[in-house]
Amino acid sequence: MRSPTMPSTTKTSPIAAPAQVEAGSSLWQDAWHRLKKNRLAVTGGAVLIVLSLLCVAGPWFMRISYQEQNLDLGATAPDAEHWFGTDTLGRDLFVRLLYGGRISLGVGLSATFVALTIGVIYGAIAGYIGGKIDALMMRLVDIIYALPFTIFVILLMVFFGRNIILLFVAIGAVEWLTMARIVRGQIMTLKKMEFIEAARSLGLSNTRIIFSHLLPNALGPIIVYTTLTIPAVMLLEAFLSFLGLGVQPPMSSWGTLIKDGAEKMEEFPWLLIFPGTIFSLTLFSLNFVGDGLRDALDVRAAKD
Amino acid sequence: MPTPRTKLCLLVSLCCLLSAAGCRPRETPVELGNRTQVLHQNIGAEPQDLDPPLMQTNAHYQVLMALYEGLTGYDPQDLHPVPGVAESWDISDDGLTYTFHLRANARWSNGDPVTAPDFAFSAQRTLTPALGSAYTFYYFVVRGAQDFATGKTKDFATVGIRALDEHTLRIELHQPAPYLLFLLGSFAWMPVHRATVEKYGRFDQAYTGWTKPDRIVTNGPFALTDWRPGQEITVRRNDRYWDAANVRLSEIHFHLIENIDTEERAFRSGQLHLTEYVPGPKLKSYHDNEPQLLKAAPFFMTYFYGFDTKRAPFNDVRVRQAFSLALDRDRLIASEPYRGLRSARAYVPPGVDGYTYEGPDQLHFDPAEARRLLAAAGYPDGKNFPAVDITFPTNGRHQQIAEVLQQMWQQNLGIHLNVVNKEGRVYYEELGRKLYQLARAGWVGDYLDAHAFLSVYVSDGGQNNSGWADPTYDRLVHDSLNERDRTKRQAIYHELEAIFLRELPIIPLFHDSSPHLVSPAVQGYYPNLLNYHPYQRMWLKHP
Amino acid sequence: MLRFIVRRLLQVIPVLFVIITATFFMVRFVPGGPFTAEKAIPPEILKNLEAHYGLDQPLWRQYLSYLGKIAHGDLGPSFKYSNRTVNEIIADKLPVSLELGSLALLVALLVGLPLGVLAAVRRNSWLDYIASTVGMLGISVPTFVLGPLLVLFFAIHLGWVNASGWYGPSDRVLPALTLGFVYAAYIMRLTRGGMLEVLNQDYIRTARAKGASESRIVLRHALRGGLLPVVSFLGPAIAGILTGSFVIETIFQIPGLGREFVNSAFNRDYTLVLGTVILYASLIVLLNLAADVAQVWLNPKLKFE
Repeated sequence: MRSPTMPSTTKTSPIAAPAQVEAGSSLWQDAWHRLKKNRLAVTGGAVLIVLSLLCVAGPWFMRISYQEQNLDLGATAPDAEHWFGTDTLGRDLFVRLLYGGRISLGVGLSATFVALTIGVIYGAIAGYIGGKIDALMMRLVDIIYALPFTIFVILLMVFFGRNIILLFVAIGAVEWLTMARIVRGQIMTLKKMEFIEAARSLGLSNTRIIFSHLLPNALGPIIVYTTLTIPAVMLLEAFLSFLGLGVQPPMSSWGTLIKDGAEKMEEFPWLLIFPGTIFSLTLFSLNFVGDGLRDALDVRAAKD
Repeated sequence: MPTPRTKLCLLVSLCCLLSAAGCRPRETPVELGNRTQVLHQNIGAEPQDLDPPLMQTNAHYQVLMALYEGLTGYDPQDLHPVPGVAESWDISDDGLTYTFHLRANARWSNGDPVTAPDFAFSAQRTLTPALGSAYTFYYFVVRGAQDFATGKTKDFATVGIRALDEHTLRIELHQPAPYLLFLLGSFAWMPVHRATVEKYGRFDQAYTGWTKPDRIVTNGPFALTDWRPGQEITVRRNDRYWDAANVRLSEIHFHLIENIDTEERAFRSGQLHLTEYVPGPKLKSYHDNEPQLLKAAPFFMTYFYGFDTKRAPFNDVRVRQAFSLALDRDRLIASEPYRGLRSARAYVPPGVDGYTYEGPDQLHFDPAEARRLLAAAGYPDGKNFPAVDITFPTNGRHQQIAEVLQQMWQQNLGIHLNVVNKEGRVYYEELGRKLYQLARAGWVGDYLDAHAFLSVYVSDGGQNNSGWADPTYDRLVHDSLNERDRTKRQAIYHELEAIFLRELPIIPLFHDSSPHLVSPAVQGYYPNLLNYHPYQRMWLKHP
Repeated sequence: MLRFIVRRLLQVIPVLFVIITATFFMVRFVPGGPFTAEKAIPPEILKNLEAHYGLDQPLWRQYLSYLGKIAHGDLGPSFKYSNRTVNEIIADKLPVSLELGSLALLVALLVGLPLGVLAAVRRNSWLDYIASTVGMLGISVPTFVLGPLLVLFFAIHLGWVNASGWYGPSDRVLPALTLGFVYAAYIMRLTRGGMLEVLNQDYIRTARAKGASESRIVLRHALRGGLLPVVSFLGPAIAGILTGSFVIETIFQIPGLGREFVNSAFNRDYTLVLGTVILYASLIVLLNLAADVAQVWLNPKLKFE
């Protein structure tokens, strides 16, 4: 920003910060050490791991299946038999939540990863190159923003049938756009910074400048937006199953369970409370881990 | 930066302000309506238009019933036809010629008299192919109507509808139709105001905008005052209506709330007298806590699953029977308690015009027999059974029913079927093009006669998506109308139903209900089979 | 800057053209049409209906005639609301969405920005934890849960406001809060993230070392850089918020445009789909342009290129 306040030669030369990125293991080791000291992040990480393990392995130990109905029982409040109660068809909510977690965590994390990768690379390239290429790339983003999503998804299913890969395509197609815009904005600012000028004058390749110098300095917003994308993806999955893509009944996902619970929250509150709590718990944990990760990777702050 | 103390003060004063605003006792729209005879009813999705022959769904019929009146009307309790614009009528002995005598004092909302030529004009307009009414079949019992509607002739004189003078209309049928008087009260036969229609376009032109609030002229007990898209349609008592002296409601606000949960909350907060529906989970709480508000009337509807009977595995009648016998319908309807569903014992809902199927019960639950039939068809214990999808349009209720069926077929036949939901129009498109195997469907009778159900499955029936065809069945459907004696006609219905249940082109599951929430202030409202509620005698009791 | 804006505005035309063309053909290839219904319409009637709307013409001719019409600002008749044109529908419903959107945006900015800044400045303090918790709640409680909860409490339990509808000023409160809360959460998280990134930059340290007051540092230096991610996010977000939210409009029964976006696709209301898409696309392009301008304005080192 204001250049007068920024001394051109300080002892902690701006180039020093990204230079550590290249130091490889030591940076990651440092970051890991810092992350371990962050109690919130560690708790969040532990919760995530426990939840994931429960969802992946839990169902193997359950005697009841996610689709086993008990029409005589119907919806019952939590008790010793059914820890989280049952839904209107008498199915065990706990087991359905575990299975749903497989879908939601799986789709949420991997689709976000896809969107993250595309968005970051696309945004970084557009922001770094600038000019006509940037204009072209960003107008493409505008176009994709504006296309009717429902129609797009239905068409995908017409041409390719329903399958799990389409789910990622559909989610990936929308969720990377804002990420690309955010990264582009950051890169455009960062590339004017002096340490980048310095890196350029050292003759580093563009790829290296982008990935080793620019992106590490934009990590904060990237991590924050990633943690915002995951819940959006999980809820988007519920909309896609409405269109016939995504999870099919009687299988459930957290998104569909929450939607279902929201419609019955006055009569059968546990149908909303448990899925909602697990969903929130996951998001809180993700955010704590994200914040911790950001702090740990923030080489500048570490020098305090 | 404000200190914590100032922030606290702000917060406290804000709360005071809010509660002061809130403590004023608010008169709800329903309470206000009770004093002023203004009814608030929700009809769900927005109507496409208020042009009767272009109506799309049943809910919109409610608005049309307020705005228009046909030759006949309906008794609000059991829906038997009563005089409408026609004061009286004569029927010839062969049941083919009806002569209607119109009221001399029937008026349009602009003061013009309602005449027999108005009805002839409206019939011609509805039947003219260019208009594109989907309900021309409501006229097909009339001599020459079908040929005219399908463009085989352009001469309306060949159609048996003629104004003999200003107040006499003659209708000639090509075949007796015991339900004609019922049809005449329906929207397809409602009259439109010729001068208004022609002022805004050709008479056979659809959607010319003549139905906008400042233009429309109607002849019913109410007249349109306002249509606010996405909010409400408002009608006011039509003082020129011939029986206006007995119409007690002063206004009706038709709300356009599509979401059933939003609708229920609006009802609870005093914004609605009448709801269009009741969300499933709410049925129990109303049943337990406020049963007087919940009206779940039997509906003239059969909820079923249809087969593509042309393709394996469902081209084998034994497989179809096995699928039906494997279902415990009583348990299925128990999954939707308090809705007032009735397990299907036949295709036609029971008790309409005195007809209830009483032949052998083919729709009972017999898993052993189901397995035997399945084995006989070559799939012992479900072995080698091809992959089959159960499809339905996306909807929480349809999904729950599909899940129950899936489990019953799994348990009783050993067959695992995929439950597949599809977006609405994708689903209906595939249904129409027979791109399905086993799909959710339903039928609502258009008139209170078993014929309204049985005639659907004639070989060339436009709504017969099953591919099933049976010449005997076709002949009997045709013959049933020629039989003027009700008992004998119903004997034919029994024969038809027996064929139907033996062949099972579809699996009837249950007869639906139409649940509503009704404010205790509403008087003269009667739950009935078709969910028609004439407004002539409805009123609000101020408690 | 003027040249930059003019050049970008000129880009709107090809962008809209691509969007219109793609959308026009996409909606036509989707199964089901405007007249598909549970009760199938007889084929001869269907033919008449299609002729009425010109759907019997070859697709390319329909496309050309549509382009001709929109060149004159005519978006055509709606299929679903057959006695109204798409222009009328947008003119009817956009103001409602604009009003609700602006209110929600106000809530989002008034809550999100200060919370985000405070959380970043007082990082890892109890203030940060409270602000972050509010932010995360906003993200993890979906609007279709929050909205009904608010209605149950304020409309049904307390009876302070209507449960549904869009009549008086009090009907704006709950929808604007519900919609604003989600965006507030996003803005809070992004502001905090962006600010943290900037607060550790060398020039801020320098300013601090020079003895500048903390509030001056935050407001004059850090905020500008820290807002970058928020600005990038706000471009498309404002376009979305102003054209209405399907969920909010459904829960509160608001006659806005948001429901038309979704329902027109379900109804295969070809012209209404296109009309809403054109509107949304124009807003997206304009607001992304505004975001880009704001970005340069926030960072004097950047030039309009």
